[in-house]
Amino acid sequence: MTLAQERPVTESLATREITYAEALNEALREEMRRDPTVFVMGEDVAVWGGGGIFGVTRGLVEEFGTERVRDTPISEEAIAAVAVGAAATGSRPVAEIMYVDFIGLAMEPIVNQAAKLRYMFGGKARVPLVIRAQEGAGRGNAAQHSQSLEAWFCHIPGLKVVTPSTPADAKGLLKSAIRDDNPVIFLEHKALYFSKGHVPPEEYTVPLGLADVRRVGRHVTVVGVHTMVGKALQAAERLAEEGIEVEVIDPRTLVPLDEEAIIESVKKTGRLIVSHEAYTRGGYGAEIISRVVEAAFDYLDAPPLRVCARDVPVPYSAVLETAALPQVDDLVAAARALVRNER
Amino acid sequence: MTEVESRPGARAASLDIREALRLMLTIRLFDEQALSLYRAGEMRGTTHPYIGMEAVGVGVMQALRPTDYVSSTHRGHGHTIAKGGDVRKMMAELLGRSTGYSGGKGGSMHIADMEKHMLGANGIVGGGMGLATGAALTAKLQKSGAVAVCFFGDGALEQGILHETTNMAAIWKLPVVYVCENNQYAMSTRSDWSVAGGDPARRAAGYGIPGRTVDGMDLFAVNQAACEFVERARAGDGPAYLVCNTYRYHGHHAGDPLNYREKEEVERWREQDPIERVKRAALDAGVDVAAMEREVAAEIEGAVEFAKNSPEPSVDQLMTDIYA
Amino acid sequence: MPVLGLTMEEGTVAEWLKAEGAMVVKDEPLLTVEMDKGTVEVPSPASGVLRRIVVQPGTTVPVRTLIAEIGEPGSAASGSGDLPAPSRSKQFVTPRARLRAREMGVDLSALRGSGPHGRIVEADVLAVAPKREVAPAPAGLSRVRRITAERMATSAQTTARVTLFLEADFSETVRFRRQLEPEFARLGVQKLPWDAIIARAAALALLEHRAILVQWSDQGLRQPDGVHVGVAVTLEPEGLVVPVLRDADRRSLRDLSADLLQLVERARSARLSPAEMEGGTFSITNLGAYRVDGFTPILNPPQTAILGVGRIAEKAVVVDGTIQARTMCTLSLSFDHRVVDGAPAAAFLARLAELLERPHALLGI
Repeated sequence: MTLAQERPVTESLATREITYAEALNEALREEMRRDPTVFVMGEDVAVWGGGGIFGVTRGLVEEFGTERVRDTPISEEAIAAVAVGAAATGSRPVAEIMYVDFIGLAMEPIVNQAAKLRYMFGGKARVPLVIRAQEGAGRGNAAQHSQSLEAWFCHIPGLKVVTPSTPADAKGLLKSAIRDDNPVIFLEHKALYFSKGHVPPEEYTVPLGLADVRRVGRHVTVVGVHTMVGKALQAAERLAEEGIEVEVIDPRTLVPLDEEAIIESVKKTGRLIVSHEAYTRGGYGAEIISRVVEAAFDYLDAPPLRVCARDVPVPYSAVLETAALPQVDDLVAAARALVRNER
Repeated sequence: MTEVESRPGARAASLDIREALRLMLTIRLFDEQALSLYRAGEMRGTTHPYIGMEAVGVGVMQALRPTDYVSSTHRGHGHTIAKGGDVRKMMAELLGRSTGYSGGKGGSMHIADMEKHMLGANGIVGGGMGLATGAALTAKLQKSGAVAVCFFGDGALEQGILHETTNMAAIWKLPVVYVCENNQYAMSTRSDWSVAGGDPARRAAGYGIPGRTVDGMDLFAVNQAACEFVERARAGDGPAYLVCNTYRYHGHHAGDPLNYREKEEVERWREQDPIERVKRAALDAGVDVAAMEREVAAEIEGAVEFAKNSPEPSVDQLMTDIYA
Repeated sequence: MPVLGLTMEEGTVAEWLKAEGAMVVKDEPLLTVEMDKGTVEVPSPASGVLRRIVVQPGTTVPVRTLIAEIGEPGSAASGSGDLPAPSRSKQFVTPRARLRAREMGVDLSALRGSGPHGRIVEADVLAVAPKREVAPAPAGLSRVRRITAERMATSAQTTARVTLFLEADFSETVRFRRQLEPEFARLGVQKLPWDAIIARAAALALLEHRAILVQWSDQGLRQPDGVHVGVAVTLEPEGLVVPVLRDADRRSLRDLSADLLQLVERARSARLSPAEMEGGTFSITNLGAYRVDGFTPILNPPQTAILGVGRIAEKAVVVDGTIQARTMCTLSLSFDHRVVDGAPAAAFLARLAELLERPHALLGI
């Protein structure tokens, strides 16, 4: 059994700092160079603004041409459905859904075809597909452009679900997702696209299914998704001044989940907080907590808590949006309450 | 006896009569056997017989190469057999055995033969449209020269995905032919009621692609039109709609009470039975039809034997084949 | 929880503006409540003493649920409301606290919890657990094994143990014993145990080397009264007890033999009293029945020294320049170097060996 502290943390001695969007761009470029069956399709990926609304596909059509970097009409169901068909017949598509909020239209091919072909055909089909989408709130984009819907996909056997929070992880995980022979739902976060971080210059991948312990601590474990990892680290800094040590874990892949890392941490700390921007009710945090309770019940010294978005459509006003979403203060308060035995 | 292989670019109007008849007989006998098994309580779930529609599946398939792709519907036995599928593995799958096409994990509605590029029957109306269009995209990207055929029913004419994939295929000139098997009913709903604008083939014009309606009970008419559209697609000229008017003699599914159709209507369509017409042509070409019927019957019986004697899957196979 | 709006079905207690026991006046703001529409101040419905707060901040309850009790000054709070009192019928304990209590042998029923509703948490258990320098024993050990393990580990980790080995020539002593045994038998003592001989010799040597008896304690070094020699007895199926021969320096060899025989018998039938096992100031442990010569016995705290006895066997020894067959026995003296240095320990061991080699002095003072 590996101690959580011994797990590799994606840091490098190199001092190359690039953005999350640039890191994804590099991943796509490298994988398209490496494997001619990899291609990109989505709305406005080729030409608009130099490659997608966040620039993730910048420069790709210039290098790889319009056959392999395809703008599509606004047809989310067909984008996903055609990508599934292409994946089942020897291509490795990376299809983009512009906002995860639109992915409802594409649920049929994702849930009923991509996730199930292999099983229904007794192992005879292979769907090496990546569907990229971006999630997240905090920008005043209101209810239909601000959601985090990873729980929908975590629920479906046959899919893998990835949620990178740093540029290094985004690049390494996207490369792994493209090379994976299964349908992978690759969820990015709009507020993270311009965040910068160290990214190794040399070729590397980050394996799916491996969590990252971002900070070691003795008193409470916080598992965070996307922007909540950064907020958990901020909360940890504040709490350290009070002598409360927070261990922050970024699962990075939600399915398959690195349960072992989380359980080992909770066995040490006895206290768990799970934090995501997705709504609290039915969010993936509940699944994580359920597994931890089953596996490490005897090690819990307090009830496991969720610090997640309120069960309300994301509001437009800044005051309301801030109140709806989980914030650093909420994490600090929760951790403090657990350590002081108030919850 | 005329046997002509489909050549690239050829507008072949003649096809292998012997092979076509054999396939049509196999389809009919297979599905009659499936219905028997269902009525005898030996099959789980249900099945969707292709009986009466054989000319469409076989007529189209005879226009294809083995490397061409086909996507199917819930009514997929005919497509599987016409594409060269193995009736023993099919029958075993219907009975949920480990020797079935999907190891018993799929059943009637999820039979696929990926090696033969038959992308599977599908339980979602319109579920095959993305699969065929995507296969056509792969063919274009990899310049394989393959064509994809998407079979769908009149019930799928109103699924949004048909519009989306047709549009995408048209703007990208993908090598895919959309074949509508209009058997007049989507479950119990008449297509002349639910499809606005009359003849569905006319919708093709809206996308700037060819569309044609043919007599789906006429193997030769289906095959001629299919050859034309398939070769056109293969040549890079993009998709087309082929609407085949046909009829299913039995219900939507085994056990369908069929209280939405008149017996007279069924009789009228039976008078144009596609197999009878092909038999006449085959006899003219010197084929020993009676012997063929006996061979096919024996083959189906053998398939049932094989299936019944095959083992059930073991429970330790439950969680396998979910991920690659 | 008051009904503060037409459609209100539940409210969350946000903050209590008064503490338990405080005087409140009717209409004075008593608490704030969070509803869908925002946070609202709730006035006190009566004057009196805020006897008991039933619902804590952060808790959501349906309207009309009891949230507090206001009573006449001097009145007592009513019985239990929604929340059970701690350490009554149901005790709340976190799983981790339960696990820790099991490991450390802490009795939960005696604890007050510092968590909500009197919940006992790990910290509460750790606060009362005895300070141990050893790791808690794993589950599944017999009581005997666990206690032995704890004592051995504690001893090994706290004392500065050094062991000296000395090969004593028991040839004389063997003859001595053989001659005495029938005499003892005639006097009603059926056997002359080796341990009685060695205990007697040790006792006499200790009189001349009292430093070996000094004991280490938190309050400093102390010199105990009396020379009481414990003799280790192995039990079946497992376990070790050390009954004590009291005042071994003042009693005859015959007396010690009789006593020891009875103690061993009682030990083996589990009838030793605690008094018979307490108060030893030196111990002997004998593995001579096996092929063991020397070994490094663990000290028996608070004693400063323990003597291990090996097998008595013929060996080739140089005597006056020639090799002879002599009956030898290895004596292994472990001592606590915190209390005694090597030289004094060695001197004691040498004197002990001397007494054993010329055993006639053992018969009586």
